[in-house]
Amino acid sequence: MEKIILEATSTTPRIFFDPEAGYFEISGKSLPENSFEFYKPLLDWMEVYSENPVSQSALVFKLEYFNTSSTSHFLRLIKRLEKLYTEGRSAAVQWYYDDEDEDMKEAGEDFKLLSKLPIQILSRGQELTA
Amino acid sequence: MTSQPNSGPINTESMKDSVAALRHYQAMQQEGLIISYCGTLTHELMTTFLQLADTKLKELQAAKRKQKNIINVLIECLQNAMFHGDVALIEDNAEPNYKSCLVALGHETGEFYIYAGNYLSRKAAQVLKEKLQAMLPMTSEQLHDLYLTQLGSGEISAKGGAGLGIIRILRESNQQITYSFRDVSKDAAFFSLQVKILA
Repeated sequence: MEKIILEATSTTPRIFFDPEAGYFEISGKSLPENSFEFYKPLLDWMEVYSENPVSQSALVFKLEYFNTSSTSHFLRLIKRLEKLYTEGRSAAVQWYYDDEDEDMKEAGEDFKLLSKLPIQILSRGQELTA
Repeated sequence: MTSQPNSGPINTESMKDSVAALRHYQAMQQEGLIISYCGTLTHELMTTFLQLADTKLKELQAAKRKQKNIINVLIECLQNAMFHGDVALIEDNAEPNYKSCLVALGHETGEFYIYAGNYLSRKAAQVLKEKLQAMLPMTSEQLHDLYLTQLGSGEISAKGGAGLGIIRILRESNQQITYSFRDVSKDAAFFSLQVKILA
């Protein structure tokens, strides 16, 4: 299974999905013209990954801005990993926010309310060097 | 990007041009307008508007949290204006240009304003009006619950996020919005929205 690496644009996030590391990062701005078109291939890819995942999977969000139509797709990605988690595999979400960005923090907390998956809400100050 | 596309031929009389510029300048000053765009929106124009707003908010030294609130509201307003979509259903779609809209950012002492206006079908206007009437009296907790319910429902339209945009505008502004609908033809209405964000 191939990695997905998409560079960021002024309205789409950087995507770094590495199936061998089980590491899936979405960072930057998510305001795609058509969020469905942008996220569908990622959701499909994640579906295939889920059939044969590595021992630990982490979905990492480091967002600056996003539109509400992106949030539904974020939740879908989270739900894909939640399925692995409920099947007994190790899977988690890390949701980063800038210290002064309470809205971003709350957005992460909203996903926490909507998912059984462990979701860590982390200040960018706590960012771990990958 | 104060912009008036398709505003007609350029007046070559420099005196008249400068008078018109002064009039526009004074009007914008009086209204406290920082950025104003009128016309058809594209994704590229939306991006440009957001970049300009971001720069201006930094220049005005708006608190970081307020900058985020304002940009988040602008994102939803710009996308709503761009994707209100059902203008194709308006039968008399020739004039005026129903895809045209207005988005503006203003600033007065202690307050920022976002103005957004777009055409939509009268039927869609009625649906939106009912939604706003139901949401405005809600407490912030009720609005949050509604947001979670909508988000958790998994409904995604091709163009948007299951009505989450309007809930987000209300939450970002602490429900400090005013709006109106004006019927402009047998099929079409104009939706005006003003969102206030305390600085």
